[in-house]
Amino acid sequence: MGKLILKCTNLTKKIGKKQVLEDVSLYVHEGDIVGFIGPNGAGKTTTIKLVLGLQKITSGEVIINGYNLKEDFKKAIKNVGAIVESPDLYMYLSGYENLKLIANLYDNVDEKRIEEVVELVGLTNRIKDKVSRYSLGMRQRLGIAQAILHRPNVLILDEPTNGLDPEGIKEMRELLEKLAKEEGMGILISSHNLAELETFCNKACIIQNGKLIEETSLKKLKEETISNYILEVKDTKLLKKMKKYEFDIKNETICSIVLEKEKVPELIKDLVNENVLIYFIKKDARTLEDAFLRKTGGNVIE
Amino acid sequence: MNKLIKNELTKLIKKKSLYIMLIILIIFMIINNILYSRSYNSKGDKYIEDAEAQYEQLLEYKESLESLEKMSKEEEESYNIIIKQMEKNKYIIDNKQNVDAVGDNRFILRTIFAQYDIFIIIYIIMIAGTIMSEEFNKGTIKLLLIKPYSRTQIFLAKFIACVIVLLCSALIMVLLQVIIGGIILDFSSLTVPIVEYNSTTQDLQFINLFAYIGLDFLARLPIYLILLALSFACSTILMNTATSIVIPILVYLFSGTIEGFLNGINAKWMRFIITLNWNFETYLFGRKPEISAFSLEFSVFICILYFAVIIGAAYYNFKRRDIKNI
Repeated sequence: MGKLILKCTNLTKKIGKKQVLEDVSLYVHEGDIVGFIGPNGAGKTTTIKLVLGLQKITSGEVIINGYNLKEDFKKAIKNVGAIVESPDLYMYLSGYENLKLIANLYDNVDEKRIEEVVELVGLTNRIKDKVSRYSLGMRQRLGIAQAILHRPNVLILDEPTNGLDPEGIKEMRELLEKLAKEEGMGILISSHNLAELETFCNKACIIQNGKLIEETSLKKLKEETISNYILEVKDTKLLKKMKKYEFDIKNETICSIVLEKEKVPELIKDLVNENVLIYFIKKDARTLEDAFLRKTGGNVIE
Repeated sequence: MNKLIKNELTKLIKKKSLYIMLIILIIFMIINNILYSRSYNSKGDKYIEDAEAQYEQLLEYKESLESLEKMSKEEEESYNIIIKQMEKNKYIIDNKQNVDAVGDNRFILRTIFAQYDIFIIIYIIMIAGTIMSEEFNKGTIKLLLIKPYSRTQIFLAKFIACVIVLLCSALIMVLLQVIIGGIILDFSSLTVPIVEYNSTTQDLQFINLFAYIGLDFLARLPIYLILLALSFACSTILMNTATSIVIPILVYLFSGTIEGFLNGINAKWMRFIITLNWNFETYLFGRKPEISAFSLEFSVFICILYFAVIIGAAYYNFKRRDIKNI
């Protein structure tokens, strides 16, 4: 595991009397791509805003590259690139002019770096066009370009795949993987599109109602919980006699059952003993979404 | 900090509103100059004859006053003014320069802010009224706030950018009038000095035209700065572009209304109203305000006080604001 570059401990945010965020702790290491998952209104964007100093932290602290955000804002934020909510672009300027404005604010960005980044996000042909003529996907790419222009080592992206086509998502994934691997960036991504995050990330944090309910590796998240198995048998009526198991009978031949992996051989043995003819049994290809919905118990905003 | 200011100016220059305002101003100027050229005939030497005739008249009046055994205080004052007026006439006759002309390029330039400053006011209100609110509404303010600059620097950069726009727009206005007036009216009158009677020193003052314009701009600068600050503050606090533009314009319109009531009411509290204090033209050339409650020092104090309160409120608000979700 690389160096710890973004450390948020016990972030709490109150707006008026309402507790929006409670004790959220997040860690991003060099080379990590951390998925930040939660239903709408869970506090993803608020957390990101606290990390970037856009909102005041009620309690807790944010340390970026060893600098405390509150006390040493300029040094802490210097190596952070971010897109919050949606890419913030000046519509009446061209893509190039937008990047130039950002470049002006840093010492380490020259013309060559701008060209390099434009090529990296694949906007070379359209960079002189006004942003108002860009598609949503192109704006996302320009947003990424803006965020990585000054070679940050922490990249924070809020819903970066919004509006991207499948090809764009694939490109973005490759780009982020490259940034994480080759430049050692630590990346924090929030997204509602869980199927996508699954392919992106190596770690996930799940947040609900302003509380972090789990921080874990994705592999673990997918495996640790009990799974769903699908069975095809000759006659599902026979299963009703087996009181030991709770089958979900779909039709005459198909049923499903939620079971721990360890208990599957026993189930097969029991089925054979009961003279049930089995054609196949397979594990339902579970997605992160299932794990997520199971953790959060659906999308309920309190 | 310089980089931030430069960026703000770049953003402003790329906006269409600048060019629209410029085109409207140019059209207005052309029409105005044509109207002047049609209405007044400043050509010829008739002004010298007029000056000579006036000189004779004044001379008679002067002699009649001198023949009195004892002059009252009022008579003494008018005696002095007569002498200065005669000096002025003599200057016109000797130098063949029409310092009182009203139909030439010089006259429009001399009164340039009275003639066109509504353009400056509207433009700076437009700029200051949008510079914050637009970025808040479009979300681009986040882009700025996550850069390695403090909020104080960002706030100052935006305000300074507005002030630079104000100075540039005044300068461009003068340049445009010099050129447009030069083409339609004349260039020759630009070298004629401005002659003002200083009521404190009781003497004539000769000033270069462009120095006079600069002086007049400085005297009116508090009006522009206060309106700019007000618009900027509304933009920062309310984050609503329309209100940020309308409020300062209302204040400006109100300033005309309240002035009309000044002599009638003359209540003590009225001297604290900013719009009665912000035009320093009343103090130029040794002039004294008609109402003794006002003085140069008091007006300076009121202007600084209002400016500080308005900008202070905006700064406090900006510094502490949580960037809400859009």
